[in-house]
Amino acid sequence: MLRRLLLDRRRGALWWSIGTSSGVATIVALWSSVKNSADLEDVIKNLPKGVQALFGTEKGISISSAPGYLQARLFSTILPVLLLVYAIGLGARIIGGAEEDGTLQLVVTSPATRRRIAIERFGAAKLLVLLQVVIGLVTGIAIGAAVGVFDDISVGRFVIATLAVTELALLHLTIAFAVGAATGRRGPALSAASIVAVAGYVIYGIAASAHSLEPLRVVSPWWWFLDRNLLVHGPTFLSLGLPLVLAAAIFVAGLVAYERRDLRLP
Amino acid sequence: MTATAAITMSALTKQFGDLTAVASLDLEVHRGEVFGFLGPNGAGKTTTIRMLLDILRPTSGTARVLDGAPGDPSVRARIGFLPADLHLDPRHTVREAIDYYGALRGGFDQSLVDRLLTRFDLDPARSIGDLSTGNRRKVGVIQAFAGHPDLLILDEPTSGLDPLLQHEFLSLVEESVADGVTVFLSSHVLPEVERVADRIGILRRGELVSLGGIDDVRPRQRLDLHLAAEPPGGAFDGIDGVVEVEVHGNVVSLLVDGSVDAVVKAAARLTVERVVSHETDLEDAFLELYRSPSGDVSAEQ
Repeated sequence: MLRRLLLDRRRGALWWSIGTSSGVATIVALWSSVKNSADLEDVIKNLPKGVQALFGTEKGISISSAPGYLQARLFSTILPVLLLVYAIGLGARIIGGAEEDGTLQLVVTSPATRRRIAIERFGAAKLLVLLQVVIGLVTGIAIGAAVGVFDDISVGRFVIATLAVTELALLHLTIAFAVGAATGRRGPALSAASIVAVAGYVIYGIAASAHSLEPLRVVSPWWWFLDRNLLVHGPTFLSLGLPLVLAAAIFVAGLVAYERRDLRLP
Repeated sequence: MTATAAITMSALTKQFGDLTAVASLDLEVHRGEVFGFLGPNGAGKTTTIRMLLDILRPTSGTARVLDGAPGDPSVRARIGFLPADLHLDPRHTVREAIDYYGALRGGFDQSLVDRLLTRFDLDPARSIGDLSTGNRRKVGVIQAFAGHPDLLILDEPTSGLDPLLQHEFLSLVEESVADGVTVFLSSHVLPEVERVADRIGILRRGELVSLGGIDDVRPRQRLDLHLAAEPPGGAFDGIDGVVEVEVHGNVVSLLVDGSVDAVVKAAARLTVERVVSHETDLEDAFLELYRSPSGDVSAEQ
């Protein structure tokens, strides 16, 4: 069952890999032209605080330094967007989409239990997301080494930051899975996970722009991830621990709902 | 539950909100028999079948299948299921789809799969997306039979199959029965099941309104005989099974109860140009059966 979903998604995974690797390669390669450029620094400084936050800028870390640049251009924008969009689409498909289009019918009537179906298909989706992560990571490290990114930061920190984006993506994958598993529909699964992603991003930006709104940020997975530049500070519980715990709880809730309800086959 | 029952439904009920799709169904399907589960569309047949497969959970009552619960994997391993609405992934080839469903059951008997593919003239290398509806049904039929099931649950199995394939399919059912397989076959048209069914239950608005041997529920048939010339007066009077005769010029319209044998023999004396048979739909058959002795229809109509 796990193999089946992997095989079914191989073409999509291939295309997405091309996107991931070229996206990451472009951003990291551009570092060489941005390095120590004071102009960019000035541009960023003049932006409103909320927008600065969305770029992942942090006091005391220059945008033209390797960690500042990578955080702004790679880890707070292109990489999470690529991984989240991919993960959410996939997550909604695990149960919701496949139940809605009826292709799960002969699977749920086979000797496989619903629990096994959910676990295996979720596992396959997770592997597909991890494949994109590995492709992004390998590309980033290879190009980064070529343009001298790792003169300023360690490869280990780069891996840690990538891991944190991965957890952010897997959290949204799990939300899409759980809502799809609970409803048997693709639409609600896609919407729920997308709303959490966009709302989290917006709340993070708003909270940074006005002091009075700051407490709001605690509910944003983006804040957990972006608050501290992991390239500078190293791993934090908020970025690496919390999404994992939360995803596990959401997965169990989705699984329980799936095991208990009537299936909505066409 | 008796040792000879393949399926036992006890007060099986399913409600969707205010709608009662299946109402307190009591039914036992014996091992080794072919049970025809009939009813007009929307009568609750598919809902019942889905409760037998743990796709839906009963609101109340119970269903036992092969001495176990419908959700029990070891029970489902022994069931071959052909859904009414078959949705296959269009990206797979026929072979991939069948292998996948086989793998979920610990692998199909490949030689049996190959024999079925040949028998139904289906090319395993073709992509599901390129197949006609009839050919997709064949994939469904093959996966249902290829696991050597003890129980076949077939929901509207011959819809979408042309007459030749329907015939082939029913032969396959007969062969399985000869091997001791129990068959639970749903349909909204009687002719589809009357060839193979031992017993028939008729479902209407979620309630079982009739249960009996195939001959008990065989409905009346309407036949029009188009003759070369106007028949002599009374030519079809007093013939066995004829309930009603109307003559309009050269056309004789007959309503026949049971076998039409006597009618055919009587017609043989005349020159018959055309015989038109009107499919008596199940609703009519049911209404005939459901008429109370006083002649009133006591159903909720």
